[in-house]
Formats: sequence, structure tokens, C-alpha cells
Amino acid sequence: MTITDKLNHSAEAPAFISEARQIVTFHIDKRVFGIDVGVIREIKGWQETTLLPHAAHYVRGVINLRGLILAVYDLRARLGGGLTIPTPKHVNLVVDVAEQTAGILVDAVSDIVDVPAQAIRPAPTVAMDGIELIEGVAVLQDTVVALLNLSAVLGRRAASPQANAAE
Amino acid sequence: MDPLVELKAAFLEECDELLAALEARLAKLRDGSTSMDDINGAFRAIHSVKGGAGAFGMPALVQLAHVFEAALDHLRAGRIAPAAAPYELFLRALDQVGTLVSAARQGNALAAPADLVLDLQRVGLSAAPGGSQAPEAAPDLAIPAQSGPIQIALRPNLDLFRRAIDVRHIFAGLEAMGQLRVKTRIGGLPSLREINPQNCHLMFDLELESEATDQQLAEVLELQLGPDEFAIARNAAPVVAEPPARLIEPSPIVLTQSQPDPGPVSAPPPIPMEAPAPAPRIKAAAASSIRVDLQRIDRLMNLVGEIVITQSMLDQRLLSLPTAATMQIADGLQILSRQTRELQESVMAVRAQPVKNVFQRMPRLVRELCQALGKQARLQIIGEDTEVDKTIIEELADPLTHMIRNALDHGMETPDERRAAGKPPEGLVTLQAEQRSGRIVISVSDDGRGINRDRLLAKARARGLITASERPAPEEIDALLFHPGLSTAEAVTDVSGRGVGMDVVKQNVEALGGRVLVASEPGKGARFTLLLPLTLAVMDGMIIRSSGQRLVLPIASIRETLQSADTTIECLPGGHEFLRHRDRLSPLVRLGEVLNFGRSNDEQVILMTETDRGSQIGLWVDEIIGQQQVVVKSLETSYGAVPGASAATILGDGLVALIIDVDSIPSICAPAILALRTATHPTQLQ
Repeated sequence: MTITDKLNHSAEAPAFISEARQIVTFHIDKRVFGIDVGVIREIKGWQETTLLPHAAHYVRGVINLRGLILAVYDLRARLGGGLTIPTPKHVNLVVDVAEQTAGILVDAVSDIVDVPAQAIRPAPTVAMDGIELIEGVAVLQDTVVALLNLSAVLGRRAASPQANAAE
Repeated sequence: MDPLVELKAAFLEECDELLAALEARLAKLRDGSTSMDDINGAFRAIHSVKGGAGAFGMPALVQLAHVFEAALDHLRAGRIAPAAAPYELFLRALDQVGTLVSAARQGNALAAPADLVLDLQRVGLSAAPGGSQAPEAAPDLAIPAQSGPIQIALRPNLDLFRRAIDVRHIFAGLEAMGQLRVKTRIGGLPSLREINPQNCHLMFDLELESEATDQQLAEVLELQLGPDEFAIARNAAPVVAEPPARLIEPSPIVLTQSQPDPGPVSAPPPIPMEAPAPAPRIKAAAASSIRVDLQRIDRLMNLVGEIVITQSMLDQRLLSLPTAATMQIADGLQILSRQTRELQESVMAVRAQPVKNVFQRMPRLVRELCQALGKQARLQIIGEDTEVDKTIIEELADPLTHMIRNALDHGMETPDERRAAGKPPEGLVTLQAEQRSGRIVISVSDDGRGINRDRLLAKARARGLITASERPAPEEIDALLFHPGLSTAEAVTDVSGRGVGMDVVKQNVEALGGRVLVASEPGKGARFTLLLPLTLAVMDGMIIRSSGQRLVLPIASIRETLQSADTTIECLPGGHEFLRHRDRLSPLVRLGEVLNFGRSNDEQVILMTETDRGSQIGLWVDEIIGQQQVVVKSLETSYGAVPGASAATILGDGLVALIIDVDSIPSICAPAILALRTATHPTQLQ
């Protein structure tokens, strides 16, 4: 709840610190990721999904969010890890990206932080799983936050080869 | 925003509708309709344009609309037979009105072309109808008192109502010819105890002030009444029974003057900002219809959808309570459920519009294309009252235009070719809409030469879309039409044939969550069918379980349900299963497996379904959970197309269930397609 409160609070108060981005951080295993506060609509606990036929393996299915049907993406699987075994402690970040509303399944949300622009670096060019989904890296005091490129995470292009093959 | 500007914008928008209506009426008249409804409808449309144009200070539009209206009035007064009217001129005038309207929308004021105005003024002069009607054909309205009122006695037979005749239509027909007074005689009414409400005991005495001859009156009356049911008598006042042949040739000026200036708001001077002049007009219109922001209706629609879900949730919770306590509540819930359903249908009806709105643009397209291509074709429209969600209607115009173009350009032969093929020189294009199993089916079919498969195949091979060794089935060749960059026209024409068209149609329709099918028979014609969803619709669904997932099947697509234990299932090499039922072999598909949910091996129920291609498929599922009304929620908007599912819904427990698209099942399991093909040729199996 505290995170949601903080989220609401920060959504109300526009960022007055210039040149800084407000980032919601969350983690999968030990890796820390972040996305802009603005794209998050709400944070929900894990709920049972309805499977989608012939969907990419990281699409966990669809859920009902007050009448809106949205797909849930398993971020661990999307980044090349195995499927998450969800517990009530896992959370869905409900995000709005390019007219699409989707859920991102993560282990837990950590915090909302202000990241000054100079702390953000381009993504490293090393070969690793899911590197194309990272748009940059923010270095905070003791942690490195990988900033996600959400359009790429939800990219339909990546999600559709099975669907195409089935046609 | 300036309220006047806003009103003017609304008027200009209304003009588009009026012009579309006018065009539709003209098209009907041109195609041989003699109905007063069509004539009056055309007249009213242009009259409204004129009225509004006057109110908003658009003199050019008023001028053009006025002469147009005057020309149409000749039709209305019977001075020109509908068959003899100059439709080319009318269409030209219609276009010009459209041009003026769209110019006005952009803030430009164009002048009405003088030659067109002149041509319209000459209507009725140049076209003096021949025959016995000639003397009455050009009456001089300046001296209308020549003949007294005509007395008409209507003495309908008892069975008038049972013949489905509404006397008001007769009155309307007469009213179009002049001023009508109606007296109803109720003396023949039996007492309440004896009355049979299906009998007509009424008699009418009419007085009509009109220039019409007895013959013209009789024509109108005989449409509905037998010769023994009416009598026409002339008032004694005028000396001559037949009006004398008038020698006065009305001049154009007389004609335009004789046109009664209609309505109080037809041509006031340009209104100052505060002037309330247009208000009464808008008020009057508001009584019959209002314009509502689509978003508001959508919000309403969503709310009702939520209520339906809550409703089924309550139903479910009720089941878990002790029976004694639930009896009374169950009654109430049942009523609530019926009311909710009604509410839902009403809200949906608000969004629905007849496909007529799009269809009525098509006759003209066909005419123009025929002229451009030197072909002869007639357009037949069926089911134009089918109602579809407004958003779909808006997206239909482009695909339909492409399909009709395609039919005329590629499918239809020239008159000579048709004669040589033993067909009537005039081709037939049929545009049909209907609602079938929860979706809208719109088809464009022609009786032309059909798809030239050889050429299509040759072209596809030349482009490397198909290898030389492949031998695609005829239907597969036809489906190549939708491939971008393939077109069968021998030369690129102005009309179509640039190889864009059918693939665009496919894209548009798929974006709406629909599909396009093609069927063709060489030498006999082709049919393109659009299958479109009724978005936001509610559907009667059967909820089943397959491989652990709850799924919804549209009731409309299920033919029957069978216990698989009672049936004979044949297994073919390759693992294809078939159901032998009613002396017919149908492919059997394990639904959960086909949808990639894993195999359950616990399938016990077979749902026999029929796809839109007419083939039957048995869907093998674990169990039937129940039957209920579900709210269709699009998956396209939030996620994208899902193979095998047309949409999703939310069940009473708040969880999502997919709605299965039965028609797409064959295409998502390639082996099943093969099996289907085999099954359609049963001889090979036996």
C-alpha cells in the first residue's frame, strides 16, 4: 500500500525537480528494473489468468481489471528466464503504453526514486538475454537500475510469430 | 464556440445526410419507382437544405436548392412522369449542392453555376409530357380557382384492414396532389358489443382542391382500393367537368414564382449573432432525434455490461445459499435479469444503424462505373435494414467500394462478351446484408466470368508466391486475390487493377475483427463475403470446459451436443479423428489441444458446429458448464488478434473466458484443414 500511496502522491505533484525522472523500481530475482511513474496506472496483486491460445510463452493470459480485459506479460520469461511461479506476493504493474493497457508480472515493487538525467546511461552493448528491452541504465548509490523499454517488452511483433504461423 | 457557428456546422453535417437521402430517392425513381414517398422524400430533402441555407445566410445554396426544388416539384405535381425526369441533370445538381456545402464547411462561399440553375429552371418546359395528360401537364397555378373541389367518396369494404391497407397512405397520396379535407363517417359503426375490430366500418368523404384529372385520381386510389370502393365527383360550381386546355405557356419566371415559399425560416436575411431565428428549427428537429456524443453511449454501454456481469455474479452467489432463503430472491432476480437484458438491447439499439447508410451510396457507384467501363449492370440490394454498430458502418464504405469496383471491373464481362456466353447483356451485382449467428454477413456477388484461376496462378508463380511444383486447390487459388500485388485485370485501368484493392479490403476487415471469404465459379460469377462482428454485442453463449480452461461458444454456431460415449469415433492414420454421426463423417477436433492448452484426454462431450463454409466440425470438450448471456469484449484493442477466439467475456466470478470463433478453428489447425477437405469428398473415404 505504501508504494501505491507514494505513487498516487507523486502522480498528483508534478515533478518540480528539473532534469529528473521519477522511476518506479521493482525486481525480478536480484535484478532491479525501472519504468517511468507516468505509464503506471496501478499496481495489483497477482490474479489468476485466462490462457490465450497460441500466445507467446511469456504472455500469461488475460485478466479482468474492472471490466477491462488486459494481457499479462511475465517479465522474467520475457527477459529470457523461466516462467514465474506466481504467489499472492507477486504483483502486476498495470501500464498504459501506446493505447494499450497491459499487466507486467514482476516479483515485487521496491520504491519510487528521482533519477537525475545525468545518472542515466545508454544500455550496455553486451550480449545478454533481453538486452534489447533495456533502454538505459540508471546508477543510484548502491544499485544499478535497468530502465525498460516497455514498447519493446509488449511488442506485438515479438509476440506474434506463433500467431502468424498458425494462420 | 460561437453557438451560431456550431449550429451551422450541425446543419452542414445534416446536409450530407439529406443529400444522401435525396440521392437514394432519385436512384429509386430513376430505377422505375413511381412511389409518392420517393418523390416527396426527394422534395423534402432539398427543401430542408434550402431552409437551412436560408437561415444561415448562404445565398448561392438557397438559389440552387430553390430551382432544384422547383424542378422536383414538377414530379411531385405529376407534371412530369418519374420515368421522364432528367436524372442526369438532377445528379449534377446534387453534386453541385454537395460542392457548395463542402465549400461552406471550409468557410468559402461559391456561386451556383448559372448554366445549371438555368437548366433546372427549364425542367418542365422542355419536357412537356405527351399523351392525354398534356393539357393538364402545365397548369398555371396563378389561376387555381378554375375548378371547385373534387368530391371523393371512399366506401371501403369490410376487409380493408385485413388487406393491410392504411387509409392514411391514401390520404397522403391525395394530399400530394392538392389541398385535402377529410370527413370520416362513423355512422356505420356497430355497437361496442358487436364490433369486430378487424372489420372496417368507416367511410370517408374527401374534398380535394387539385388540378388532377379523374384519371390521375383514380390511379392513386386504385393502388389501394377496388373500383367499387370509391367514387369521384366534381363539384357543380365549375361549368366544365374537365378543365379546359390552357394555352398559357408558363414562363420560367412564373414557374419559380409559383413555387410556394416554404416555411417561415426558408430565407430570412443573414442573422445577427443574437438572433434566435434558427432556434425553432433546431427545437423542432430535437423532438424526433438528437445527436449524442458516441463516447457517452459507450460509457452507458460499458456500465450496462458491468450490470450484466454483476447480475450473473448474484445468480451464482445465490446458489450457495440455503434453498428456503433463496426462493423469493430468485424470483426478483429473474425479473431483474429480464429488465437488464431489455436495458442492454435498448442501449445497443442506440448505437446501431441500418447498413442502408452505406448501401445507398452504391447504386450510383455502379452506374458511374458502368459508364466508365462500357458495361451494363444492375445492382440488387438485399437486407439494407440490417442494423450494425455505427463504428462498423463507418468502416464499411471503403471495403464495399473496392469490392463493387472489383466485381464490375474484373468480374463483369462487356455486354458483347455476355451475349456470346449466352447471358443477358445486363449483369447483376448483388449486395446483401444479414445478421447470422451473432455476426453481420455482407456479401457482394456478381454473375460475371468468375475468377480467372489460370491467370491468377500464372501470375502468382511468376512472382514466386507459389512454386512451380505446388498444385493449390481452387479455393486456395481464389484466396490469392487477397495477396498484395496480385490483380487479374489484363491492363491496369483507371477503375481498379493496380493490385491494391482486395488486400486493402482484407486488411480493413481484419482490423474490424472480421474476415473476408471468396467463392467463385468459372463462367458463373464470384462472391465476396465479409464476416463482421457485432461489436459490443451481447451473445448467448454456451460455457464449456476444455483442458482446464473455461471457454464460451456462441450458441448460434452449435448444431447439437452429443455424449461422446454414445458415438462412433473413427481414427485415421496421422491421428485425425472423425465422428460418424447421422451417416456423415465429420472431422473431430479436441478443442483444448487445438488451442494449445494441452491435451486433457478427459473429453466427454462433442459439440457439433457448423462453420460459415457449411462444413461441420465436431468440437470435443471436457464438459458443458452452462448457458448464459455474455458481454462480448474485444481482445483486439487491448492485446491483438487471438487465433481461435473472436473476443472475450467476463463470467460471473469475475474471471475472463474466451469466446471461441468456430469459423476459424479449421484454419488454426492445418491438419484439420486437410481432414476437412477429405471429408467434403466422402466418396474417397468409403
